[in-house]
Amino acid sequence: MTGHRPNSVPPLWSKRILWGLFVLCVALALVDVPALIRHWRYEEHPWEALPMLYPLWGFVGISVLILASKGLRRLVMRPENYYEGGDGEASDADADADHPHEGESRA
Amino acid sequence: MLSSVPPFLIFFAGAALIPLVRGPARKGLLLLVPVVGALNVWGLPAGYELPYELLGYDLLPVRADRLSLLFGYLFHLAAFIAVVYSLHLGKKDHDTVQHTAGLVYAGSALGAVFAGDFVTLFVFWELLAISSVFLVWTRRTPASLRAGMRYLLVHVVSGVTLLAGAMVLAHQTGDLSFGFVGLDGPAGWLIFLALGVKAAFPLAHSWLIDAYPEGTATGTVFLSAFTTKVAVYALARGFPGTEALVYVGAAMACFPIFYAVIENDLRRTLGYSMINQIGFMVCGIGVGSALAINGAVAHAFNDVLFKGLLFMAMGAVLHVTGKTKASELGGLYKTMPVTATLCIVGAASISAVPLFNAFVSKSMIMSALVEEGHLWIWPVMLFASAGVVEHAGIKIPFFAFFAHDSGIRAKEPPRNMLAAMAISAAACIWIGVSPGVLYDLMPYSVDYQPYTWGHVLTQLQLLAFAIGAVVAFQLWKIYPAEIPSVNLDADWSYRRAAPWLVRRVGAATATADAAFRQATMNGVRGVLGAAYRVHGPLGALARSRQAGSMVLWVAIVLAAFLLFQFL
Repeated sequence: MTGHRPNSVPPLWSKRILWGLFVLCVALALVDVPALIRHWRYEEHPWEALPMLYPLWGFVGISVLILASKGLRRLVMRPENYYEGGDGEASDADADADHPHEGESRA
Repeated sequence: MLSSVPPFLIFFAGAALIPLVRGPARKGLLLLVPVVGALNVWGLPAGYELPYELLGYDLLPVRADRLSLLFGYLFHLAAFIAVVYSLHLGKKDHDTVQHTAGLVYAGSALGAVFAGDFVTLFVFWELLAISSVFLVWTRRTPASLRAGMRYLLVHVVSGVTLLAGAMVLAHQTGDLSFGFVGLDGPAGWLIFLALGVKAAFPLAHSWLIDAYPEGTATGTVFLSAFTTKVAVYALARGFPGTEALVYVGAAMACFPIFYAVIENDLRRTLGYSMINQIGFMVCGIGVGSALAINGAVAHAFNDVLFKGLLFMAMGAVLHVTGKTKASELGGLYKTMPVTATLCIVGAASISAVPLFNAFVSKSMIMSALVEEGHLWIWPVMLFASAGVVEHAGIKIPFFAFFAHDSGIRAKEPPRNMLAAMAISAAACIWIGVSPGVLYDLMPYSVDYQPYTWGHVLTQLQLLAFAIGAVVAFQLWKIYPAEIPSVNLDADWSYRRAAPWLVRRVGAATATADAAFRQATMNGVRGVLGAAYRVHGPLGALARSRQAGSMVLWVAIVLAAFLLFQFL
């Protein structure tokens, strides 16, 4: 877990990035307003006639992805040494101690 | 004549010379091999064939057409980048093994894509597995040795399945040439399955996420370029327009992105990302139109560049920190700004940001899906596109270079690693800005314009709101934390379930065997005991009789006889 470690990016920069993203999203959402009045844009799929299709698909899709992944984690997550015990497999930690350079020299 | 040299021979010859030279000569040789190879392939005209007869079968060890030439150019570029990336290796990195295996592996990939018959394809199919496993084993950890062995077993099974399919095909048609196969009959299915294992079809995919993260920093860059792309090439050659591939591809594009969100090892996350991207290619091959096939192979070309770039960035992190787990990294941009920037270029490319290469190739596949009437697959693939932004576009650079400060202050990797990443990044942008460069190499003529205002704007909408969702979930503290862990996947079946089953069946068999042996022994002992009682030294049949007693018994019998006579 990394919850107690400080952020690496200064808070001011984080705020600027977040505001920049927010403004970009609003601007890109406004692009679709004319589509509410008249179909005007690039359309290959019938659904593309729906205003706000792409913003919604992006936001809702990722929301579903993240929430579903959290559910998946409950099912499939196991301790890091899960495969190391029962099958007589040696610990990777021991291996890393023997090979601190991961098979290659450091810079 | 240089143009008549089979492309793989140059790499095999280079690999044979590698152990003989060291230092600058080794570096020169390593760089020379892909350059000479590329010049050789550049001289091969489309339609070039090198026939050979074996045991009455007409084989075609080398066949060059536009499809194989495209992959030929790609593999030379990939080999050159990977070689540059591995130039710094020294003796303690087992450089001779890594360099030799890398060249044999690249040569095998070239041999496979220029193979005009199934026998040649099988030979290089197996050589791919055997040579590449050394790039995993060379890391020399117990985990990498085990993962390499599993990888090898899976790929040998794939090769044997391919051979079985080819034999059935030869029996049915008397022809071993590698062209369109299709799914009619058992031969087609066997070959399809063999290709599916190497392409990491769902449930046959776990070799990839098992072995690739265990490879050396440089070895995984080689691995990411060749094996799966050979499979994509073979599918494009043997199964274009096979509708099942549309659904298989959609599944491949979708299921790994859920795992990628919760995976802690960033190189394993890239493994899931690789399956997701191959899903787009497989889907395009399944659609089968000229635009779709062009999109699929263009995406394979681009994937080698941007996925290679991301694997190189994570390899650089592994090289300088010894770590690739998100829970142990963060804040590296402070001391590794160049690597971080190059990683972000790779992330933008794979996310299909306009002016980066995947925007062009992914758009071709999406347009082809609609053109060919796969209207319900289109939204699925659009979801998968958004998912890429989450795990490869944000997660990889964010957790490695930003996020929480890990306190690690590692230096930039060696210059050759940076140079290799820079070449890939430049190619990603070049193709994104000038897609005509790639169009000229496509198997079919291309009339496609990805840069329309509507297309660019809708793509930006998808990307911006997908990023917005990730950021929002981070701020709301709902985003899954980085936890040191492993996630069960299909490999659980042969790493845990199968050994458990074998142990259980073995134990039950041993118990039954012991009981049977005991019962049998008891029976045998009973028979022996009874026989002993009758025939043993004290048994009735073994008693010795004295002659006197016999005379007495005869007298008694005679007396009894006389008595009966008088009565």
